[in-house]
Amino acid sequence: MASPTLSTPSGAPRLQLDGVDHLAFVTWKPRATLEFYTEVLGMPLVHAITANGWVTEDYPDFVHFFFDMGRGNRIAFFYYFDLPEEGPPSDLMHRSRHLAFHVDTDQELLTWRARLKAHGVRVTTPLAHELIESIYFDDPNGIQLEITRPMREMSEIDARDADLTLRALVDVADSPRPSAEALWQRKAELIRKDEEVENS
Amino acid sequence: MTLAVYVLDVPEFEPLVQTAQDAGMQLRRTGDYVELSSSRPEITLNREGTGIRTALWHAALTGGLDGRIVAFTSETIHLQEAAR
Repeated sequence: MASPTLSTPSGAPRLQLDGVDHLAFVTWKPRATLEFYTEVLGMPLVHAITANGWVTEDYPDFVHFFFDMGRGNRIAFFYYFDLPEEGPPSDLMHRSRHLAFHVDTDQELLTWRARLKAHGVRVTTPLAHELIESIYFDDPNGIQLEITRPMREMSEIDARDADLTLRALVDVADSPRPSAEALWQRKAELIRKDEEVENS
Repeated sequence: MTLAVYVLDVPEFEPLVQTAQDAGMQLRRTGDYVELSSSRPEITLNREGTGIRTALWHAALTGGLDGRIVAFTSETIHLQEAAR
């Protein structure tokens, strides 16, 4: 897939973001987090900084540490001193806010599943979606993680379909009663409009 | 009055297209989509025996729907033409 690009005034270099530098979470379990990311997921610890709270007036003293997820992408955690632990999110938010790691093949997915199980991690059976097949498990902080492999490559047809879906979504989301049914109905209207334009 | 389902023309949705045709829907290609239309005012698609996996079944209408949903469960999709 092409990287996201923004058009710029003619002559200016193209402005383009280059992947994930780091993704940050909060942990109250540094020992379990260190063991899980280094020993179970095999991600090297690559950086850690400790500081007294300076960001805002009431910012706690903290440790900020980083693991290498591969491809130069890092996952980072904050550990805050004297910060009361937050309660768990709702089940829906827990499932929704997740981080998915990529592998290339079905065999790698199954090998990772076996490795996780061998380390006593509860992991789902592989779940086939539309384009990807995934396994799901939690890190020691209750963050849902996923390992996924492509069942086919995304192509231009997927991007064109996504464009129509999002055009329908933004229309419906602004309406008094948004629903999946209304989105599907709006999308059908957009497909027919595109067909009329092509035939005119 | 029409009843039609649009399905993106990609391999993973082929079993759904087959299921709709087996249920009597007519196939027409338009752009990136297969339009499956019904000459009857109502149609019910049954998942049993189709081999369509769960996540895909529940995304069956993601291409678009000209009509309305009477029922959409893990085993059946019952659609009706929309009054205009």
